[in-house]
Amino acid sequence: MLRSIYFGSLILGILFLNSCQKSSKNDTLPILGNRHVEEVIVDNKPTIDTVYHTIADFSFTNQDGKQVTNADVEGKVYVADFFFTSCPTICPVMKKQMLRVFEVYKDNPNFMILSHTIDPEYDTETLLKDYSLRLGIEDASTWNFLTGDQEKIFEIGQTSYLTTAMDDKNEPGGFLHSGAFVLIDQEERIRGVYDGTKETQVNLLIKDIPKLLGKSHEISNK
Amino acid sequence: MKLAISSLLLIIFTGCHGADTNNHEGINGINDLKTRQYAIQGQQLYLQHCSNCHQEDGTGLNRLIPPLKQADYMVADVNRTLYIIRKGLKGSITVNGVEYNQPMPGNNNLTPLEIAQIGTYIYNIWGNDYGIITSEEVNEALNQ
Repeated sequence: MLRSIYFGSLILGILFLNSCQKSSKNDTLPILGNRHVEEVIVDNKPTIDTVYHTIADFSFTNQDGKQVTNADVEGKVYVADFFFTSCPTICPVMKKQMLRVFEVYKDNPNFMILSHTIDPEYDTETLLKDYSLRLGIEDASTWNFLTGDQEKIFEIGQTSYLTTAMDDKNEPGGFLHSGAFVLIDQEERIRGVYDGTKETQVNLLIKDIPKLLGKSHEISNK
Repeated sequence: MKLAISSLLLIIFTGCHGADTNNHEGINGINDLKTRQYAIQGQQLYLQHCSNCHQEDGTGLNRLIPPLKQADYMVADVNRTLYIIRKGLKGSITVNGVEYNQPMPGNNNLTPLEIAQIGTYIYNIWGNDYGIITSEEVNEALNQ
């Protein structure tokens, strides 16, 4: 009797330990954002097609003064976030966490990081270059620090990446922004949103990225 | 027997929070009671006002944000540190041989007591053994 109860507890314990790992066992990530269905004609037959939320067209300048547009991320998996260099609150933590993502995937040519400044007036390309070098990012091959028209950056943050990025005089540093890391797939769809200030969330992001990269790998092998 | 089961369950439950480290790490080594009290308060304030940039473990962020842990710049001048906590800092500084040039915002809302507590915390952990920093010392440092 005693033994069977101990055995039961053991099984319960194993279940509990497994539940501690929050990572989803699913290999497919959800497609986030609003979607709508459209009727399209395929082979002369009306077919229902789902149109997903995608990232709008953009053109910003990176730390090397180069224009970065949708064409540069085409067919790639990337992580987007919003920050500013003089940010006294969550940005340094976000950058420390993004460095972990960078370290894992920096050598994969199908992976990129786009960090948008929300204070482009202060964060010029020269300043972003200095900032990125001090952070230990030698070039813009993987991690792009983007500046540009502030309105456009706010707009893409809010309407494409579905995150918060705006002026707020009441916030320390003068801007309000979320600490989200937004994961984008090869077709510019949002596949995950992670809190870039939390180590456990970023661990999850690091685990999720190969679920998308693996797919591009398959396609390129075909 | 019920005790055995419940204790097992307790172990299982607490096992989930295994990542939580000792909150007062480094502070427990402080012998003087008042110094330790200041350091405990100081740690809370540090986590609120300082650790976003300097990090919880005081190691900073590459060449962007200087470390506080085992930092010659900090150890060299206590009054200067107290002044910087309140007023911030602009321009280039060298810490442990590395140049940093990221402006640090001031913390105008911190009271002399709070700055004393933060100071007591950072000057009594990471191998430091300075002892208590009082509000009077902070006031002196701010009036320099």
